[in-house]
Amino acid sequence: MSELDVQVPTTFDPFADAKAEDSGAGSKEYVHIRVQQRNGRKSLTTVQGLKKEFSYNKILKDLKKEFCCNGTVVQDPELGQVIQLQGDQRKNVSTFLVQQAGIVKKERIKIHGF
Amino acid sequence: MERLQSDRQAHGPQGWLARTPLALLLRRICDSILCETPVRRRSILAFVFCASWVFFWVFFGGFSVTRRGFRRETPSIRFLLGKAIMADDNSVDVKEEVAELAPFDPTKKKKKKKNVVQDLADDSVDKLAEKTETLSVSDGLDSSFAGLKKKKKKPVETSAMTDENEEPREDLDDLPGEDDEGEGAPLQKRYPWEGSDKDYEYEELLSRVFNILRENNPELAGDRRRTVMRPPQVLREGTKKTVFVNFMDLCKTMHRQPDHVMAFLLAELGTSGSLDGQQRLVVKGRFAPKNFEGILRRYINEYVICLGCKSPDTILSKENRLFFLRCEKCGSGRSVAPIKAGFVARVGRRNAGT
Repeated sequence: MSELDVQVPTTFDPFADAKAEDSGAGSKEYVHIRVQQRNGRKSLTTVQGLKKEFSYNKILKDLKKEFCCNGTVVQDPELGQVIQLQGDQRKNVSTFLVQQAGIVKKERIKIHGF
Repeated sequence: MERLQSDRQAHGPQGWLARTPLALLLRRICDSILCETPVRRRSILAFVFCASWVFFWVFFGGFSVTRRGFRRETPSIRFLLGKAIMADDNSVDVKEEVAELAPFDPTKKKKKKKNVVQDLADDSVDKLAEKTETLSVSDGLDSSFAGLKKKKKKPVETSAMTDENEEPREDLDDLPGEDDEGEGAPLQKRYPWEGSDKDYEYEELLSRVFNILRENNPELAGDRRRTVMRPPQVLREGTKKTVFVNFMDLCKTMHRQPDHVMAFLLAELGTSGSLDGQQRLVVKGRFAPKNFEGILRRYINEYVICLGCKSPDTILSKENRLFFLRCEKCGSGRSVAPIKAGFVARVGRRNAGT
């Protein structure tokens, strides 16, 4: 019995590393920063894909204070929580998330829009 | 009729002008229609005469100008300026001739240049004859070009050939296409550097190698023809819509389905849009051509360019719900991310929907 036990390899979980990465750094999870046009020169910035452990409200509060703009956290049925900011804050948000907050790595951020 | 004739003889003007058939006709018409008294008749005749004279002058003058096609003026100006314009026309004629001649000038210059160069080359021939040993080195280099060695071994011929071949070499550095002309002419040698010995510059040798490579197998020459994308043409439809005019053209140059490109564009712009009747893309919102260009650049990087060889010659195919990119040049393949629109906030009137 004991010999058999030794011979049989431990169950190999092919998805182990994927799970580990997913839970750990969120490797495949990009943070999408988008911009949307509103009427006139106004625009809207949305930040989607931040890790769920973070308190979105606290991040939002800092963002608002940093960029002097208003914003909300929107609950989306598919994508979860999304931060909305007023104005085109794409560059601001990405630098903030990478350098000041250090939440996200730079290669994990995708900036969309024109 | 007799009465009229007598009238005319009695009262009519006697100058040669009045006796012209036209004048006679006019006077007869005036007589029959207008009046009987000779004084009024005379004044009317004079007026008609003057008017017709002026009219013909203006008409023919103006006509001649328009027929030449230089410029169109109002006839009155033409009439006033008179001969001054005629002189001007002549000058214009001369100018045109000069302009016609102008294209021939370069050839003349070239011929002159060649002559000069030939003279120079004659001097250099003597030097060339002395340094036949060094020629052998270049022979070894050129030995790959078959059948050309023989000519070189005759010193007389080489000297004759170098005369003509001195000059094109300089051209070759600028224009690699010159080679073909050299081949076409039976008298000239195939390569301009044959028979001459000089210290080769690195650039020269490099360009020579690339010329040969380009002739024999163009793919290896690294002369990658750059696929040039035309800049997007964008119109504004009303104030809130943007029309992407040459959308279809760009799709064709990228070899991508318009649907795919459109989905990407709309997802990136975060708006909605559609193709209209003339296959133009109508997008909601105001966008500059620069914006489209940036997005298209990202699209090309992600969905067109092969990562291995950087060639845009790729095929995007769908295999059980996944998009795969396969390169036509190097055969490599990769999967590409599906297009996701992501979160789109609601912009606009809030009470419209719910």
